[in-house]
Amino acid sequence: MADIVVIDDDPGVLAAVRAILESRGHRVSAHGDGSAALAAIEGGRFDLVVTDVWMARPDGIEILKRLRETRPELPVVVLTGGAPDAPLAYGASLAGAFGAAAVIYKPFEKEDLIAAVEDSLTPPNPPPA
Amino acid sequence: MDPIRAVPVDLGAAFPAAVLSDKLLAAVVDSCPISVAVADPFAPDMPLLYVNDAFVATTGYAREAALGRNCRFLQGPETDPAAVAALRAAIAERRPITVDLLNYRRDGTAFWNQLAVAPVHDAAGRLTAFLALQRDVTEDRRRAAAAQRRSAMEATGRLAAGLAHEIHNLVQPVITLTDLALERGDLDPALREHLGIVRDSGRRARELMRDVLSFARPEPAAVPGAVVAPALRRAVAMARATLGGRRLECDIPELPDRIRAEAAAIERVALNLIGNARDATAADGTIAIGLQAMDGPDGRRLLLAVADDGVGMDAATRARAFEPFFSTRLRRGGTGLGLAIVRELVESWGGSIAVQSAPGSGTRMELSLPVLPASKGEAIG
Repeated sequence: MADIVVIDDDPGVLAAVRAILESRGHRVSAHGDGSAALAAIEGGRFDLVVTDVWMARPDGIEILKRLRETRPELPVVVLTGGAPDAPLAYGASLAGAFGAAAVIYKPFEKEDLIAAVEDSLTPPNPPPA
Repeated sequence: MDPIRAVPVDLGAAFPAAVLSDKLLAAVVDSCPISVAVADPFAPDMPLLYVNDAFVATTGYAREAALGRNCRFLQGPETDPAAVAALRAAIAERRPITVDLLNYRRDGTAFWNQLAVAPVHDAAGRLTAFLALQRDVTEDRRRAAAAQRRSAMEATGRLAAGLAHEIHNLVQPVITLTDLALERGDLDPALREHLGIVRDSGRRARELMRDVLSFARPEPAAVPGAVVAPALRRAVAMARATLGGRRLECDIPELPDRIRAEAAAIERVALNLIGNARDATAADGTIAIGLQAMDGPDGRRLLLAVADDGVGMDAATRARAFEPFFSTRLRRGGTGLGLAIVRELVESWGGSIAVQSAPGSGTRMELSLPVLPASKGEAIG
């Protein structure tokens, strides 16, 4: 069981991701807004972040870049569904370049999300180097 | 190149005679790289009085075969009667005209002929002849049509990318929340069935968006190329499980030839063609897949054919088979994008696709793909 922050500005996706993760026994802190989510992450203890890419600012890439600086040990799973001006692969390659633990394409099957999250969680508490 | 423009010719003007001798002028016209023909407006049925070397080269008709006949011998079954009527009207009114006509060479091959016809007048302003300049614009028209289709596809792609973001978000909870609900053991059987339908509808919407998005995804600029035979074998292996009792005849030799494509795209094209063949055939039908290499005047090409003994297509269906969103199976899971995507991919590899089909006699799709020059030390795979 892990403590997971989920960020997506679409309430349907947010509900779906929350339900999938809770069905696996994880505790979910769900946010529809990147700023509130960053404040929550920086004020709390979490094991993993799941974030959408294309949102109002800060978007998923900005969140990812910020967390790579402030919380380099925190795995981030990126959800991408394409964007009006960019092909799907654009978000995925950005996320890869900025250190996402995994990238999955919407709409995904629940098994895809579970595998991405749980693979990124192990080891759950990486020992300090 | 600019189109040929039809302009009235005035032989009364001083300069040709003054600058060029008749003999030199005749030699210039004879060897002019544009096809030139002159018709007699006074003889019955306006026979050709003169054709130059380019006319002979373009049409394949020798001078003696062409002279004395009305130039309609270049027309054929697919020549547009409206274009011919416009040409006739202009000639009757003795005014210049430029039209694109589908004409036929002596060997029966069709070509697009940009024909510029102009009346020729003498110094007194009397009509003396009709001059016809002709240019083979087949390749120009093919390029223009391809460019037009590409720009339509790009517009579709931009729209699709915009829609995809919204639809993916909407479809996400439809698929996964119903999937979670279906895990519950206490569901009423009717409710379980309905939730299953909702989830499957969500999955179909996802497949549709994936197909639409493949228009939005440009081919990478530098594709290293892939060997066709193994990609085709992989597609056949994947497709085999979906064919039920249908017989699959494969003739895929281990050819080392590569084409300018990604292996996944070759698989996709093959899967699509096999899937279409499957859907068109009866449960005990036969599907044949063949690959062969041919060395021709345009270099080496691979011919990939997928044939079935299924229902076949009538002329109307055949004409629209490659059109996006045209499908005879929209209610049975088709998105209407399969063959449109196949054609886009094949043409992006520099290849072409031809279809032979008639109701009751099955369908044969044949891809002709230019082969990349062999590179050293390359493994097949």
